[in-house]
Amino acid sequence: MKNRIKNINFILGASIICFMALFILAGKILPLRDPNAIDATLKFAKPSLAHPFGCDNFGREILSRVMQGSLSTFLIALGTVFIGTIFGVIIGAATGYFGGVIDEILMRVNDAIFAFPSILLALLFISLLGPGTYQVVIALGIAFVPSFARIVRGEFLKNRNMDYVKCARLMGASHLRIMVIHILPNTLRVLLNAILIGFNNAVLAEASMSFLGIGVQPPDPSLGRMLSEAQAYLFKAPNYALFPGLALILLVLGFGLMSDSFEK
Amino acid sequence: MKEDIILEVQDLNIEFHDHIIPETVVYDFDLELKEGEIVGLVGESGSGKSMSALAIAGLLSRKDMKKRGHIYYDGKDLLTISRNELRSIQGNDISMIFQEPLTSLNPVKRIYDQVEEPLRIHTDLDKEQRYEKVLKILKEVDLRDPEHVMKQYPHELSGGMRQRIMIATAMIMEPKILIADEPTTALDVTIQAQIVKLLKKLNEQRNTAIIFISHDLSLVSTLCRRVLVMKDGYIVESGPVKAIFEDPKEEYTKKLIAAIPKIDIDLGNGLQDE
Amino acid sequence: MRYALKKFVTMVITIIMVTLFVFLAFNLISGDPVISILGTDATPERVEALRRELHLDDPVILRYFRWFFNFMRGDMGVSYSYKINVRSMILEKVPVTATMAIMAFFLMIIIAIPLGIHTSKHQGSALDRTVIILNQIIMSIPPFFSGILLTFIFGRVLKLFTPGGYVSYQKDFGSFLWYMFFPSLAIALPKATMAIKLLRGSLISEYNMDYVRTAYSKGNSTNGVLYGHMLKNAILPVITFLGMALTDMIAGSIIVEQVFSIPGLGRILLTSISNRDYPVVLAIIVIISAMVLLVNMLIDIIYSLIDPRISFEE
Repeated sequence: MKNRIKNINFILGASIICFMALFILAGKILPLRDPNAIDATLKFAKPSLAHPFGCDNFGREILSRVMQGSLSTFLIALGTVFIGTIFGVIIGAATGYFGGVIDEILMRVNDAIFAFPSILLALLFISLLGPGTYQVVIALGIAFVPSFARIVRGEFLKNRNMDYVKCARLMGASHLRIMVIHILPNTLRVLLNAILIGFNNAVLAEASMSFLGIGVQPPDPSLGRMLSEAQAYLFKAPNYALFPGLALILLVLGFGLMSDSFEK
Repeated sequence: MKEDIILEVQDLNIEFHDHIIPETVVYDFDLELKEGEIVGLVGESGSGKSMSALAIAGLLSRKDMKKRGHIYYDGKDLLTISRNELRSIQGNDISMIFQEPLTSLNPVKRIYDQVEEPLRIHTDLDKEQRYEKVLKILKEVDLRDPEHVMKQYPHELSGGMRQRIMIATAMIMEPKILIADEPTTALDVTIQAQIVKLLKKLNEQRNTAIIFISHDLSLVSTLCRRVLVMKDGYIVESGPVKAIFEDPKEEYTKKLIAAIPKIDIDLGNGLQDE
Repeated sequence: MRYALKKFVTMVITIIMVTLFVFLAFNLISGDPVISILGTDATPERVEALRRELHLDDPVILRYFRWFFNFMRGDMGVSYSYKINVRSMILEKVPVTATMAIMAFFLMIIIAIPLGIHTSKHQGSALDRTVIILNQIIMSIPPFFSGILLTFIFGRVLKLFTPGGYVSYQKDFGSFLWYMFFPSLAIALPKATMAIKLLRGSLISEYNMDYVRTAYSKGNSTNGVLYGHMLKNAILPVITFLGMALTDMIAGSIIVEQVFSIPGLGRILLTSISNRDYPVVLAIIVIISAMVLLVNMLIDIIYSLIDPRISFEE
């Protein structure tokens, strides 16, 4: 019963993400208007067949902007999770496997960083690096490292004294080999869940950053910035806020449902 | 019903309904309990002994469990009376202690609050009276330094002390019936003997009837005069401990007896002087 | 008591480490503050004078301690872009952020605890199912978008408040609180849904505990067992989450302030980040960090008060 619900969640989440992937792909394939093309005659055009999502305050096509914005949100989330995973796995694996003083110190630092909301950390890094797309990827990526390191460390700690690891060690396998070939595959399930949750958080964090105007810079579209611009015209053109918001919710919901099915 | 019989269980059947196919775990369970009597209930795990005991204590959830038969106490059928009536009996006239004293105590509440709770539920005593009663019962279960213990939390006590606390909680309302579900299984052998001794003492002083559940036939034989042997949900044998020991009818009972290590705990009133 | 003291010391050490890190980072990366203040075309004499005035030629560690003790005394430096005291810019904004976070925290608790208890008691009921589905959706709505939705529904359609009509707490505290209700709700909603999920799961797992059976055996009613025994145990894992949620809310208020045009710490922080006004950014980040650490400490202490096993083990 419970497993069935979890499977349904996973299928639902995966379908939503597939749908969003197709949506983003359609933006690349279909002959839509350039997301940055301005046309004063189309200012606040209502949704119609020609302009399915309507047009914004500059007469830009909201549909193609949402598609492009979803793509950049997705790519930024991907980059963020990539940085978080790579460094998280390296730090977590080394500290969990070897233990000792370095582990102690690194984990103390990690705990201190972990206690801070990732948005605050990202803001700190942004204020050091300056606003921009790549800066957001780096800032969020670094902010995400501690949570990944924590999870991976726990798994390595659990596995390092298991019989199969001892066995590999007796057979003369090097530490690196044991860590990569033997232990890492055993952490995949947990890691995969962390990656999915990471995507979920990264999408939210990226959207928040660009909403604040410190992420993707104009005129390039991003879901967060579209929402912040749409706010001023909420009554006049609710569709302007609605569609980027919907795209954002679908992305978060999709990853959320998928990660939910991995929980025990 | 005869005069001195305080509990009468007739044809108790218990079915589980939490799976698609209902599963019967207790068949046609019968028991007559006399005032002040100690009855042993023996069997391996899964034989239905704990289920029967939980049913008597009114602790089987009504949702996914189907019970048939009768459990008469004080002229009332515990299986059919209202929740409110049942609650006024639980912890008051019939109380129960369990196998794992650590997990059976609430980890985040002080010992005093846990021992006192039945008084708050069942009586109108004021604070000082309740305190006196708690202190008295803690002394009666042979706890050293009860004033200190009552301020402590379960994790700060030893296994034996925890079980004494459980017994104190169960006995504080001076119940007619105490159901002890493997109360010594989780304890060291020396502590086991002390707990059994304590139960025996309370039984004699207060005339509380005890249903003593165990998989350990030797322990039962030191405490009880009468025993019921259960297997796969059925009572396969019942009668005086001595008779069953000397002449077991069932193959299963023979196995149980053969499994007893040959050490007897002398409690003065055990098998030897029967 | 000793536990609380220990936690306090840990917090102070962490604050020093965090501020040291942030201070060093800003000093390494932010470039020469003299140029930030005077511009690139200042005369060498003026540059030299200002360098001396700001003690920029001292070792960085010395400057850190000078900055730290000044900060503790309330001297937070001067803003590069506004040329005014940072303290006067920031201090009156702190209550705005704090109010929003605290209000959101209580809203979260008011929403989550009754619903968590109710759904765990009536598993599989219509309400339970509705809450589970709604939870999943609300959890996926970022606070700034739910803020926009709330503005649209309660501000524009129902006209319960005037969007953009923020009232300062110094002017009219009642109106201020009423205006803050909606942004607080926006932050509280996604956290509340997570708290419901957690509390529900936690309570459900408590139902199978031995001590629950003991509680029933004493003659407790279902509510007696639930409120007298289970809740305190079930709330333990939730408390850790509540603490993290509160720190997230403090940070999240920066974003939601923008939705509701509230002139709090968030707005100053963002303008200062884009102006590279480092003394202001530094001060705000330190203040928010201190709030976060304070919350973490309080949560640890509250946890140890509820769970007697904690203070004993450490």
